[in-house]
Amino acid sequence: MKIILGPGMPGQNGGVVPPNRQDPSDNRSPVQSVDSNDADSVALYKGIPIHLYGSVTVTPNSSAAVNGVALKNPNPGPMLISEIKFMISGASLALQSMSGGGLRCRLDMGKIPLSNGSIPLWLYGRVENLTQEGNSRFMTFKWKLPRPIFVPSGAAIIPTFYHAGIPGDTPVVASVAYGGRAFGPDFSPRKIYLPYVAGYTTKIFDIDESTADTSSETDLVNQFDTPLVVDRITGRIDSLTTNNTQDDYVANLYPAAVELVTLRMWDSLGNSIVRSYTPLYTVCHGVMRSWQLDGKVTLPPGAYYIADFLKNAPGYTTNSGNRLQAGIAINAWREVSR
Amino acid sequence: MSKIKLPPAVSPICLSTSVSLTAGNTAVGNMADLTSPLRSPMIIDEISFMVKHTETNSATVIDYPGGSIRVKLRTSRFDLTNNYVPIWNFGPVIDETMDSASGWASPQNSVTTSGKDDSLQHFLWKLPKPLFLRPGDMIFPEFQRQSDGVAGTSKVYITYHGRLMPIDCPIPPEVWIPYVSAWIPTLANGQTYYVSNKDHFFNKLQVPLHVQRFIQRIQRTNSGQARELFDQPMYGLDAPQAAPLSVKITDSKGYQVCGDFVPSSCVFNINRRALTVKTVIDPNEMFIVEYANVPSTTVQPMLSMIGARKEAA
Repeated sequence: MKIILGPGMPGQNGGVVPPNRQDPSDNRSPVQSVDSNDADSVALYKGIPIHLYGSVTVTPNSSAAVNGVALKNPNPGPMLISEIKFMISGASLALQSMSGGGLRCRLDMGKIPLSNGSIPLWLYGRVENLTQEGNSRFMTFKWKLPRPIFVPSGAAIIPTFYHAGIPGDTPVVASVAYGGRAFGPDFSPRKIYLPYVAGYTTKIFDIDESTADTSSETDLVNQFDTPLVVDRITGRIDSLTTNNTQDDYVANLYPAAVELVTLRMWDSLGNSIVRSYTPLYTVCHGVMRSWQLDGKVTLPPGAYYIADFLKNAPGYTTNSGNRLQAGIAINAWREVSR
Repeated sequence: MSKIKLPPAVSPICLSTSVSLTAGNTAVGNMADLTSPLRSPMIIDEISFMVKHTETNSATVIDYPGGSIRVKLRTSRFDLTNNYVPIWNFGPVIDETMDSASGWASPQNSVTTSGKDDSLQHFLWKLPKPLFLRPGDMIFPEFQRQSDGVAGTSKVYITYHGRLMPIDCPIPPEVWIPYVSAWIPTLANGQTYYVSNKDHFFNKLQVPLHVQRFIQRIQRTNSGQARELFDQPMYGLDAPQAAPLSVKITDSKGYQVCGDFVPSSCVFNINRRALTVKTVIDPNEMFIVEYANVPSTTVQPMLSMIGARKEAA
């Protein structure tokens, strides 16, 4: 296939020139063709690098959306966004620690949902640096999209953050950044991929109790009429105390507590995915908090996964007041026709 | 042989079982946990291990590396290992600080096992080629824990991550079978030179072996403790060494992979503990590995060769 690049791309006019400001004396072809099989294979090396950023203060038990103007391409033309980054920072020093489980985000591009409701920030992508994610008042998370998403000219991906109310009454500043490439107005990939995350967060477990919790048919579901290609399954455990929420590793629940949260899974046809109750961090590898499927599995339209969590009693001394909350998500993409 | 196109997978699948091991013991996991439900064929993409070591005397051990826990893997027809292979010798390190280099051992100020101390390690082996398992077939793991002098019990989880195939999935005429062979030199007092033989990196199979990489780990055991020495050989035990642990690799045709003895951390990437080779050795061919300047019997190099071969299904 051919990908048409607009003028002003690197190497065309001797530098980066915004697409609408091409030198009129330049009589070279206003478009440049390159061979490509796919929008995401070649196009990411073309166009102009672009990075968009927005932030909003979120108060407990409420949601707030980032100003969409900041997240639109400032140049006329579409974009391919390849990664989405989140950052949590304390709005005041009152915040001791807040994990990626306490702050959630819903992503939409116009009427197209990119997430199944509000998903904890740390379930979007795999762990890259667990210690950095566990810093006390400042945390970052990255979702490297399985396939870049095409954002048409004038459109934007709008994040709506939700503060789950833990810890207590401390507001946080939620930030989002998009990294990708911007193209001229003529850019039009043949295939368009839309990423999607569906997740489930359990009820809050007391660390000493033995109990269970199960997702429903509407949580880890493919709500579209096209198949979802599953890239990975991510899982995390949040440690909750009165003043902070932390990754369980950072909260020093490792390694004694690694067997506290186990799960089994099956799909809507009854096929076993995780056959017997298995520690979450053996299903989702303990270092990456992720089970990489690399797109080798699809979830048919309307199909879903069920995650059945079993919280085991520890059988040893615990600090009273500790609570746990587990989360699991499927990270996927789908192809849509233009 | 003609190739066939496999149908799409039905769903992902994760099978896991665990065994508890004390020093010097062997164990086999619950096979029922590792079999395909409904006898459907499966494709296994990766195998992971998690070791939770519980020490009864918290003053002695905070780290417990994967060198003492070894596993032999086989399907009903094919060996996946040449013998017992240390579980940290299957795949490279994923994350230098958070992976298996020193393991996780926490102060546990939130959860305590009274009078005990735990450590935790994760290891991941992404198979060089996905492994197709016929209906009813499975990977049998046999675990062994060395007499490492470390007190306490190791609980070892083995987990297979893969894909469940349709029950009527055709059986491919040829399948890739991953293969790992390991060499753990038997150390002797005063001896500093060791050489591998036909029991180690020899292709005893009837088909060519596609070698992906070598992995070297070094375990130090001392006074009831065991931990990985990842800064060997430049700093040896506790101080810089004049003659660092060195390695030389040649193949059976005389070609030299390492021209001469080279400090082992210059051969095996120190962050991944791995040397990627990407080569093919024919049946009855082999690599010969020589170690020089092994400092003492408490510093144990462990070397593995990871690859895959095609076999008739």
